[in-house]
Amino acid sequence: MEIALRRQMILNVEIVDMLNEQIIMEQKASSKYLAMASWCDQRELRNSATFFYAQAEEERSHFMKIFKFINDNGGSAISPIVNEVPHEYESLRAVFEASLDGEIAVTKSIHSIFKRARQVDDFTSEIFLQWFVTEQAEEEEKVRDILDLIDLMGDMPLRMIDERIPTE
Amino acid sequence: MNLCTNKIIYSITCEKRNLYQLNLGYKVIDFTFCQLLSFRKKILLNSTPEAFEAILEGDNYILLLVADNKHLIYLDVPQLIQLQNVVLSLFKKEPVLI
Repeated sequence: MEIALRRQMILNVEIVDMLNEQIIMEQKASSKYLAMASWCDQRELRNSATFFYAQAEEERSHFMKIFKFINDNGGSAISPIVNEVPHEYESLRAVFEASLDGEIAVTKSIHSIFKRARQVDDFTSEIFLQWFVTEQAEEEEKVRDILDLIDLMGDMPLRMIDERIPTE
Repeated sequence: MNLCTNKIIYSITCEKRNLYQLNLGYKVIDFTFCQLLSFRKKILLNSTPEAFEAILEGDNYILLLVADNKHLIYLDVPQLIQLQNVVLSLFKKEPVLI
């Protein structure tokens, strides 16, 4: 039976389950970023809003990448359902802090799938996930840089801080 | 007093490529591989401790539509556990040494 299953799918079924969980996580991250973009947009923080809209798109592209990977390799990708996401924040700093926490959670999850893929000899998934490991390091750093910027600008008006938020 | 029980042993076989047959005792269901994967997912979702509790507190059985909604199966908790073991053992490989 193992040979019959192997002829259907190169991936380890446990890793497929974990990747499906990751899809939900990435979709949730995308929805959270959209809520953050909305918060910023409503307060005329244009650059921050642009940043979060772009982040929402990026998270979506991440989960689509995983989604396609599962289906292209014989697995069964499951369309994610997301429950409620937070829409209220105390400050711009709180928005970016929540963003960093979200990125750290995603990184941890990617690392645990990567580790498991290596343990069960699912080299296809391991190689696929390498891109995500690098990507997550960049994502975290991007938000950390913004938090450093907010710290440096101290009590400057919000609009001035917003003008310095990178939009690309 | 005689106690009559009817024990059914579930089994999944694969006679040809992309055809998996689940024998429930009273009927045989054909699955393609992707249907088998979603069946596995349904069984896993319904065999968590929380799911068992919900079944036991409810009607004491669940109905599952399987193989692209072609079959409806009726399962109580012991049957669900038995089916879970069968489905999971199908995907189990040799233990991994870390």
